[in-house]
Formats: sequence, structure tokens, C-alpha cells
Amino acid sequence: MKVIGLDALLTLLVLSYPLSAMLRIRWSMAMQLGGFSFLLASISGLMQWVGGVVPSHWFSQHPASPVVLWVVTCIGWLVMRFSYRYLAGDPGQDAFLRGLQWLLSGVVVLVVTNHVLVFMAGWVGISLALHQLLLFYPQRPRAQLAAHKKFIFARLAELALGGAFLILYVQHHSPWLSDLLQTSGPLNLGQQTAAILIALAALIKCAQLPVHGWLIQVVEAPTPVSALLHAGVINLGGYVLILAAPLLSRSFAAQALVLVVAGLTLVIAALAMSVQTSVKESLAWSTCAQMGLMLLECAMGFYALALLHLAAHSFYKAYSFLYAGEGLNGTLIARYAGPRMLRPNMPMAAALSAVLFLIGVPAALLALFAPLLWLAGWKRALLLAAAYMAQKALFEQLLPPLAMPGWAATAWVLCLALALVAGFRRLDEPRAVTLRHWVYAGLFLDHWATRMTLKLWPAPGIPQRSSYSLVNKESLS
Amino acid sequence: MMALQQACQRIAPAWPLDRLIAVNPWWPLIDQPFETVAARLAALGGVRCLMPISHYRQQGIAETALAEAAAEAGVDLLDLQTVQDAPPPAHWQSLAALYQRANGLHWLEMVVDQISRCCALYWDSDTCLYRHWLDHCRDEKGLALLMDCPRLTDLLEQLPNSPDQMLALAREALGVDDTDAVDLGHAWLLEINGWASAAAYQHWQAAQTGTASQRLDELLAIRLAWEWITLQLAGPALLTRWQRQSLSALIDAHIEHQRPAWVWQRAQELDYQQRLATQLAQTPSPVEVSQLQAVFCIDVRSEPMRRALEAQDATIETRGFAGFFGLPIGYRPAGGAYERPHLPGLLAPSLWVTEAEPVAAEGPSRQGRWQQLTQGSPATFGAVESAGLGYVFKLLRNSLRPAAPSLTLNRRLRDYEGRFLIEDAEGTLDSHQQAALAANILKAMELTAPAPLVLLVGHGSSNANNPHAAGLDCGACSGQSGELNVRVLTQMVNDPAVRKALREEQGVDLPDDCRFVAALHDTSTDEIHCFGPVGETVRDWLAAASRQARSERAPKLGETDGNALLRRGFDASQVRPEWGLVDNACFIVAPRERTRHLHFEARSFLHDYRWEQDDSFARLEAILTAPMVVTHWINMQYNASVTDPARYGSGNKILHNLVGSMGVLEGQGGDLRIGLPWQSVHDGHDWRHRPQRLCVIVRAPADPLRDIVSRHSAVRQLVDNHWLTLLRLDEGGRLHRLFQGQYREVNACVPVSG
Repeated sequence: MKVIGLDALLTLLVLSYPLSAMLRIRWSMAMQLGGFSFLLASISGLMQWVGGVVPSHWFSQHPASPVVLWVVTCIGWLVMRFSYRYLAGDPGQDAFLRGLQWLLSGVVVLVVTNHVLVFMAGWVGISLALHQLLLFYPQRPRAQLAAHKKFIFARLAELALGGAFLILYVQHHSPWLSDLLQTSGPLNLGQQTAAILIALAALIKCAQLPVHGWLIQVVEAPTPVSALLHAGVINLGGYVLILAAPLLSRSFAAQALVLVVAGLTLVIAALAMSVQTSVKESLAWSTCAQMGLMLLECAMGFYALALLHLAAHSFYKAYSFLYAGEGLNGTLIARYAGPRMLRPNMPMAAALSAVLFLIGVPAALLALFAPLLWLAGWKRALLLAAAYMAQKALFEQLLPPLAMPGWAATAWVLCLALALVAGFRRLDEPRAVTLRHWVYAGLFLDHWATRMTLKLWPAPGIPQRSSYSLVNKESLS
Repeated sequence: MMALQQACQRIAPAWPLDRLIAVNPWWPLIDQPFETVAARLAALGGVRCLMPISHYRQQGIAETALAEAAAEAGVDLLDLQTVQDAPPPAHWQSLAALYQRANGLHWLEMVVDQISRCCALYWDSDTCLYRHWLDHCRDEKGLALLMDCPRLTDLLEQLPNSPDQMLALAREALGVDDTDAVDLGHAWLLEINGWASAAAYQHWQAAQTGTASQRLDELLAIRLAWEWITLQLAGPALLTRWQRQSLSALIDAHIEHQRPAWVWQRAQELDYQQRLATQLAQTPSPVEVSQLQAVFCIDVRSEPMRRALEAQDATIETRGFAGFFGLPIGYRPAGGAYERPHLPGLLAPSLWVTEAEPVAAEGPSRQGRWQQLTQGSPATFGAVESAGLGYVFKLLRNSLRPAAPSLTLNRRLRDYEGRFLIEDAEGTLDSHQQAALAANILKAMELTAPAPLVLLVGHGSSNANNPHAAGLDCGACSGQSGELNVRVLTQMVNDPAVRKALREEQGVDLPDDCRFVAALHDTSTDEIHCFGPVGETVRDWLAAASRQARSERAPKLGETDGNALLRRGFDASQVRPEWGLVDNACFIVAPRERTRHLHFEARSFLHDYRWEQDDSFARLEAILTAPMVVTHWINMQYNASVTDPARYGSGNKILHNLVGSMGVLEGQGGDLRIGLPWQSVHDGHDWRHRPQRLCVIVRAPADPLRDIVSRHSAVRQLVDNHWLTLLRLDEGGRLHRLFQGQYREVNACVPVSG
């Protein structure tokens, strides 16, 4: 009975966004419906977490699914509420709402379903809806470039993921994701290939170097698009890896691929973030780096933490984007308090790290967490360490750890952490001019991607100077 | 100095976001007639100083006004009525604009973007911007890669190391002669007008402190380095094509093209002036005894509020005075390294105000540390992972029940209830010095015999998530709220020691029962917050006035209920918290009794002035050289943001991307954007601001007024080059236009009786 109830709830949830997009309902209604979807997601989450109900095999039975669903519907609702007034007076406001609803439809379908074809449909649908939103101001040449680049990468990611599912289908003859991604014992060649392809899809989807450029250029789209993209869409790569945990944790090659690519991205993007001059570009680089950490955690087997990171980063980034206009306050505070605000405290960091290590936090995780303990000041460090442990325990209840990383992975992450700290210290030195130039431009990796994109998809007739279209229409009329 | 570098003096400053004030973007060009400047700018860079004729046609301009404007310009009325918008003639193009590479990316846009990025990176550095740019370019592989242009690296190596050499090199290579150099330099700077204006601000600041800045010259050198590089890449054919452009021919074409629009523009202004003349011809209504005097800022948003307050009781008198209340102060929040001016941008602070009693410094620092942890340190990963989920509460609270927005430092100022220290270069001001300062201000406000209660009302705006928030605060206080100024002045004039010195040394005898109370008019909610006790009656008056002002303003913002305005500015997604100074059109310098009974639809700056109490006309001189310039700047900023939003407006708020406190970008890159955002002057259907030159109305005798105008070159240029219209209000309520030394009466639109 409960199962039927939950199924009905999830069906309603899946239908709510596409129906409201097709019925072209008004903004006020759409916002209420967005809130309703959030409520449904909360109830279905509670049923699964507290009530222990598991939906039928049509729906994803994975414990990560309700978490991601809750995060996405929450942010979707908030972004909708935000956009209503933010875009008031814009001629494309209604088209924007449809785009938003289709995008959310895709995400909800993908997160809820257990059927591989529905999953792929959601995956493709998301990127098509996103394409429309990125081109919300089609007359902006940079927006076009970003959208084209994203379009090409999205197709590559689809090919990789589709290929992986095809291989797995041939082996299992089942359309259910829970069957396809399940395995016991060592992987055969097909499964190995599938694992690598899934890892590749996740890396592309999460805008890891060197295919990160579009994420930075998406700053050309309206702020709420950035908020939703950075908070609800980009981390689906991580979600796929969490689903594919049984495969990934048995495939050394896939793990190594993610460890190397995401690890390097983590370091480079974090450094790039700190030298950017504009708020939104800095935030975009930060997403790139944070996605690196999330994928790294997957590759090391810390799926619970990856899920925690997915949720935490989503809310943090949604907030940062939507309230990016408050940035001036921060600039003034920095000027008021002076350049050296942080209070590094090494003994405290060492002691706390030792305690955390002894109560069972693995060294690889600690390496990336320790800079916080070092720089945050002792009160805040204690508080955050406690919060971290509590959330970690909570999420590990949902997703019990599968395996611990080997010594090689641990050593690699330690090296990354060292490189990160060393890089930040080096950037602070006045003489490190060339390093700053290189880091600022993200090692010029994206310039190659842009060139390729322009070869494949030449820039269309670009207007003489980009200016606001409404104004142009107005003055020419 | 090279002729090219003279172009640097043609750029008006743009203030950074934390002290965003309005400025006439053509301020350095006022020595020429506005019409000439408009045609020249149009020829140099396609700048638009006028609206399309279709716009004027929708304004309901009376035919009499149109006929008069046509007669004035010697144009046939019928031609004017039937004329249609024609596409503007071509404008001058730089080499970079003419050059095109095969990959479809726009070369000039790439160049502007590259310059813009370098500016953002090195703006705060004290050393040569050109050197930074050169070093950056020589490391930079990106553009060469992107544009598939390996030669770029070699060309950059060949560039000279100093900006002067670069200018000389480019000048020779491009064959720029002295006659055109200033114009061409100006045109090149117009292509990076945003950063050029920010650089002009640095020059302005340097001039105020007696130093010099080279930023604009450096910027011009960078821009010309790109021209030189473009020339090397494109070869002599492009140079020939480029040199074929004739500036004088282009200017002539634009003069011809703009002629009808100017007549329409003038007709719109005449129409407005004639309606004003009708209004002002009504008999004055003086107040006999006042119970309450409230001094407001001259801001156009004070006008409806003053009207509403006066409507509460016949014994309420309001005054208009510059919102910094004559205090030449800056603010240094105690315990930090930050300081900011609280006076008009024309002046530099000579006094500094700081909190006398201890204030909590921990709040701002804690916030700043968290920001640095998450955004600029290796701790970013741990910070986001451990605290990120907490943001869900912040998001939900801000969406469902937002709190009143305020910058952290301003909130701290509001919470502080103690006294302020006022310091000059020598030390803290004693009561004698304070009395001397206060006496001047009281005389200027004509408040030497005040009512029992005097409210000094500054103004500020509550709006969230708005990089341009300072633009809605008090322009006379450098884009801050007027709170500090009114609180400091109130503290001074209520201080018994200062009052004693006022009486004994300055001859200003304030009655013992007279109290000054500081107050703040929140222009987005129309609430008036008093910083001291005012008694029940006054509180009721203020509350009723607030309600009345809100219900007058609500429909303009698309709200049916005035109370909706109370929380409108709290909403972080609200891109139009209020309309600011939109549609400003006139500045009236006269006693309140001339305007008390009139409704100016929040389009009028009002300054109280009684020439009978101004012996040597020194105060009139001060008004024409300071507040009038400020109102003209505001007026021109709004005009320019509407006529040419791509260059003088900061674009679409939905795409804004902050660059420190320097300004915003629209989207990812491109030039720094200055001026007002599109949403601040447009409601999605129509422009909310009708661009027209400020109409300044002064009640003063004819000859002294003419003398002052002719004595001050800036004022004379504004008047005689028609950057504004100066009208004299005579004792009979008639208006006379002063133009090039002559007075001419303005007709009222209906016959005036008596």
C-alpha cells in the first residue's frame, strides 16, 4: 500500500513540471506548483528515509535519489521565485519559465527513474533545455559560443553514457538501471569499458579540464540560469558516478582516470578561482573545482561524502549566484578589515587533524579538509569540524562506504593537497607574475576548445557591437 | 604634450560603485555647444545624444511648442511634422573595427575584452598600467591561440616599453597628423569608454589631492598598441581604407542628420517650460507661524514627500537644501582601514568623522574572513562541504521573509547611538570651530530663527542585491545615505557649548526651546526614521505623510497598495526597487512659498533661496556653481543612459557581473559598463525617463544673476552652450530665459490673469 502511495507521489512529481510547461500556466501558478513539487519531494524523501518505504522497480531505489530530488526541487522552486521579479519586463520572461520547467522536468525524470531509456531521455532533455536557456539572449556572441561549445560536449557525454548503457544492456538484457549497474566479482572487459565511458561522461558533464570553458562562459546567460546550472544540473555527473558505484569501485582504470582529471582540475580551478577579477567568473571556476572534489571523492569510494558535497555545494552556489549583486559589501569589508584577514593556526590544525584521523577520518579526506582547520580560526574550525563529522555520519547512514582508497590514491590526493596549498602561497608572492597570468587564463586550455568549436560550428553573423537588443529594437522602431 | 594625449582630457569621470554618483558623461566638452558635441560624438563613435523622432512624437508635445521650436531653428513646421527617422550616417571606424579574421570572432571585441581584463587585473596597482598590460600580453598565449594568429607573439615582443614611446610609434605608423589627433584619440578612447571613464575618475581624484595620474594616457597607449598590431597583421591595404575616412565630412553628415531631432528635442523642452510657466504664475502661499520645520535634500524624490508632509498641517514648513547639509565630511568607520566621502563629488572632504565611542569591529571581520575562506584560499573545499547545507536556510529565509537590506558597515553605523568625533588635519574640532561651521550652514539654510522643532532629513534607499544601490542614495553625499551628515550636524547644533559659541561669536541666537532632530527619508519605502524623540503629533504627521507619499508613488511601480512599497526593496530579486531620480526635469531655486501649492510630479529639484537675505549674492553664486552643477550631472546621466544605453548605460541587470568595486560587466567580458542599468530607466514597455535638458529656474534679480553666470566659465558654458536652460522667475511669477547674455520671456501655455 505504502509502495503504491510512494509511486503515485513520484509519478505526480515527474508529471508536474512537464505538464505545467505544456499547459503554459502563469507565473504565479508555476511558482506555487514549484513549491508543491518541493513539498512532494520532501514527503517522498521522508517516506523513504524515515518510513523505510522503497518504491517499485520503475523508480530509482537508490538512496541518493531522494536526496538529489529534494535538492533539485528546492533550488528549482527558489530559482523560479527569484526569476519572477528578476526578469519582470523582459519580453522573454514566459519563454524563460518554459525553459526552466523543461530543464527541471529533465532533472526530475533522470533522478527518479530506474529505466535506462527514460534516464537517457532525461539526460538529453536536460542539455536541450539548457541550450535554450543559454541562448536566452541569442544576439550575444559569447552566449552563442558557450552554447555551441556546451552542445558539442553534451553530445560527447551522451555518446559515452549511451555507449556504456548499450554495452551493459548487451550483458544484462535488462532495461533497469539497478540491474545494469549492479555487479559482483571482478569486471569483464565490457563492464570495464562501460565503467570508463561512464567516468568519461561524468567528467565532461561536470566541466572538468580541459572541457570546462563553457561553464565559465555561461556567465553570459541570466543569473538564475547560472544558479540552476551550477546548483542543480552540473552535479548530475556526480550523481551518475554514485549510481555506478559498484562498477566504478571495481574498475581501476576508471578510478585512475577520474583521480587524475578531477584531481588536476581541483587544483588548477581552485587557483584560477582566486585570481579572477569578476564575481561570476570566480564563482564558475569555483564550481569547476568543487565538482573536481566531488568526482575525486567518488573515485576514492567516498560516495556518501560525494553526495553530501553535491547537496552542500548546490545550496552554497545557488546562494552565491543569486546574491552575487551583494558582492560590493564583501569588497568594502575586505577594504575595512585589511588584506590579511585569515588567522592561520598550525598547532590547532595539527591537533584537530590528529583527532579526526584517530576517530576514523581517512587521510585522503583529511588532506583536503585540513586547510580549513588551519585557516579558519580555532572556534570556527572546531564548529565546522563538528558539523562535518555529523553530516558525514548522517550521509554514511544512507550510503555505507564500499571500500577504502588504496595507498596510491591516498598518496595522490596528499600530493594534490600539497600542490593546492603551495599554489595559493605562491600566488600570493608579488614575483609570481607569470604563474598568475597562466592560472588566470586556466592554462589556456579552453582556447583550444574554442578553436575546435569554431571549426566545427563557425560563429554566426555576429553584430558589430554587442548591445542590448531591446534597446536597439526600441530605437530603430 | 602630444595632441593625442589631449584627447584624455575629453573623458568625463565615472565614479566607482561604492560611491556611485551621477555625472554628465560629456562634462569636459561643455565648452562647445551641445549640438556640436552631439554631432561630433556621433561621427567619432556613433554616440547618440538624442532620441529617435518617433519617440518625441509620442510625447504629446503641444503644437505651439513645436511651432515655436521650428521658428527658432528656422525649419518649416510641416516638414518637421512629417519627418521620419532615417538611419544615421556612418561613423568613424578604428583599424581594429575594420579588421576581420577568418574565424568569425569580432576582432575589436576581442581587443576590447583583452584590454578590459588587463584593466580589471591591474587597476589598483600604482605602477604603469601599460607595463602591466605588456607583461601580461607577453605571457599570454590565449589570444594568439584563439585567433589562430601566431605572429601576435612576435609583434608583442616588438612593442616599446613606455607608453609615450608606444604613442609615438603608433602615431607615426598610422600617419596621424596634429589636426585630427585629438579627435582620433577621443574616438579610440570611446571604444573603451567604460575603463577610460574609470581612469578619468582617477585623474579627478588625483587633481583633488594635488597629485597627477597617467592612467588615461596609459590606457590610450594600450589601445594604440592594438591599432599598431592590427596594422601589422592587416597590412597597408587596410591602412589606406582607414585613412580614407574623413572626419569633417562625417561630422557634417551627422549635423545634417540630427537637425530635425534637435528641433523636436527643443520642442519637448519648450512644452515643459511653458507648462511650468503656467504653474509658477499662480499666487504664492506663505506660511505665517511654523511649528515644525523640516529640511529635505533638493532631490526630486523629496518633492512628493514635502508636499505630503505640508498637507498634514498648515504650520508645517519644509525647506530644500543640498543633502550633505553643507558638511565637507568623509567617514572613517572606527577600527578599520576604509574611508569614504560624504559630500558632492566636486569637492574633497576636509573633515573626517569617526565614532567617538567603541563599536564592535568583529562582525564585519568575521563576514570578510568567511568570504576569503570560501573564495580565495585552499580552505574552500572544506568550507563548502561542511557549511554548504546551511545555505538552504539562508536561501529559504531570503526568499520567503527577507530582512531589511543594508551594507554591513552601514548597519553598524545605524546601530551606533553614541557621539561622533569630527577631525580636520590638525585634530578634533572644538566647540568654537564647530560653531563657525554650523553658523555658515544655518545661514545658508536660512534657519537663523528656527521653529521649535527642526527636522534635518537626509535620504537613503533600501534595496537588496543591487550593485548600483549607491546610485539610489544621496548624490550630494557621494552616493551614501544622508544619515551621517544629518546626525553630525544635529549633534553640533544641539551641543550647549556650540550653541553658546554660536550666540557669542557668530551672532546666531538659537532659542533654548528649539531642538534639532536628525531624520532619514527612506526613498524606497517613504518612511521617515527619526534619530531622536519628536513627540506624538509629529510622529503622526510623519506617518500620515509617508502613507500619502507611498500611495502617490505606488501606481508608478505597478503596485495597487502603497504598503507594498514597505517591503519592495527587501526583495533581492527586485530589479526596480524604486524609480530613483527618473524623469527629473527642472531645478527651482526659490522660496517655498512660490512652489508650496504646486504639484511637480517628482520631476523637480527644489532649493530654498531668498535673495532678499543674500547681501552680496554669494549664496546664489554658491548655488549656481555647486548644487546646479550636481543637478545638471544627474539630469545628463539619466538623459545619456536613455539616449545611448549601450555606451552610457550599464546594460541589463540580469547579466551584471561585478568587478570589485570598479563597476559591472554585462555578461562575461567586454568593456566596463558605466551609467544607469536598463531596468532603472525602463519598465519593460517604455522609458520612464524622458530625456530633456534640465530647466533651472532661479528667483533673483536680473542683473546679479547675469553677472554670476558671466563670471563663472563653467556656468556660462552650461547656459550659453545650451547644456541646460536657465530661467529667471520674476516677482510677478513670469519666467525669462537667460541665454547668451539676453533675457527673453517664456510664454505660459494659457493666458495668465493679472
